[in-house]
Amino acid sequence: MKRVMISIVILLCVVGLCTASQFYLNHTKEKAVSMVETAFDSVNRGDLRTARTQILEFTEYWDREEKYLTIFVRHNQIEELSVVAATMEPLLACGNIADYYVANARVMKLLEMIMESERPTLSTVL
Amino acid sequence: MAVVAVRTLFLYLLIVLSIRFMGKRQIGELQPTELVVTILVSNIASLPIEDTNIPILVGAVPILIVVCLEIILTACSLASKKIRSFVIGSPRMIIRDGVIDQSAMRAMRFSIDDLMEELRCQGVFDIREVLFAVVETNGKISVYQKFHSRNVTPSMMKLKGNDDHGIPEIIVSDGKAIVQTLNGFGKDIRWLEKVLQKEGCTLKSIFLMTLDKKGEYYIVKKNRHKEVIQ
Repeated sequence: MKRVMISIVILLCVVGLCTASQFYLNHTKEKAVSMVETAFDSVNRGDLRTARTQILEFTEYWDREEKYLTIFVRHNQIEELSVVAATMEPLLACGNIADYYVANARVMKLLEMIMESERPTLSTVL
Repeated sequence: MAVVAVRTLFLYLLIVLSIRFMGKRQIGELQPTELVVTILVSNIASLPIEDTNIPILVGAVPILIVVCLEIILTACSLASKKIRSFVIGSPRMIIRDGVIDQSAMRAMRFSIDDLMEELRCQGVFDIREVLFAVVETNGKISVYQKFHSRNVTPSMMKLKGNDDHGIPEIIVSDGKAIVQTLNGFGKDIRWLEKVLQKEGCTLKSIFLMTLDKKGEYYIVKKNRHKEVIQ
């Protein structure tokens, strides 16, 4: 009986952990997307200096969150995003807007993919 | 390399604890579902070891889930015969009153070679000796032999005896006294020291010592070259 109770507690903890990870990932993704979009808007307005600051804030934010995300998200997915994010500020510094747009699109797509891959939907389960 | 080493250590400990948590000690005691769980757990554990991109939690959580579900399922099986029959199955008699139930064998996909092999493992080489044979849920066969083929027992010979001795238990293992077992027999360390003094040996020189209910003990000393001199 003791083992059964411990098993139920462990299962409940796992469910709690999965739920918490979903909320955390969702929150992280929304904030990251918001930061990237803000920087993108700044670039579109022609304000590259502000955009660079915002991108640097995003990369710092992502670096901070990375160590928590690696607990439950595949490391290569996170590393790929980190690499792409790291190129965005230098691209803006060089005035290379076209490549910045490409990097921006990749970051947005990678954020979406990380979120989708961790969400338990029919396509991910199958 | 270090990452792989640490992961291996962590997952190894997790697997050992999980198997112990399941409550079985030997692979021979496992039911089919438990054997599946054991194999599954080891395969799941190998994934984060082989691929360091996979978070270790992604290996640990499935192991915990599988083991916990197995324990809950086993508990439900104990509580309900229906669930037990569905999950584990039921023992099935394939030899009844010395007659082989061929339809039962076909239903279980149990071939003649399987039957003879299992009988030989039970020490039965002549099928005519078997009165009843039951295929258990773990695939093993339990055999009840005909009277003239059974081993002779003291009751058959009308021999008198008793069970006063009980089971000998280990009270010294590799030079260390097991006080709890000693106390169970109503003895203590002082009694042990007196006995060892009488036998002319020290605690450290004992490899194995057993004691039974009647106070009879058996000592195996360590090999001379390994003996520790106090």
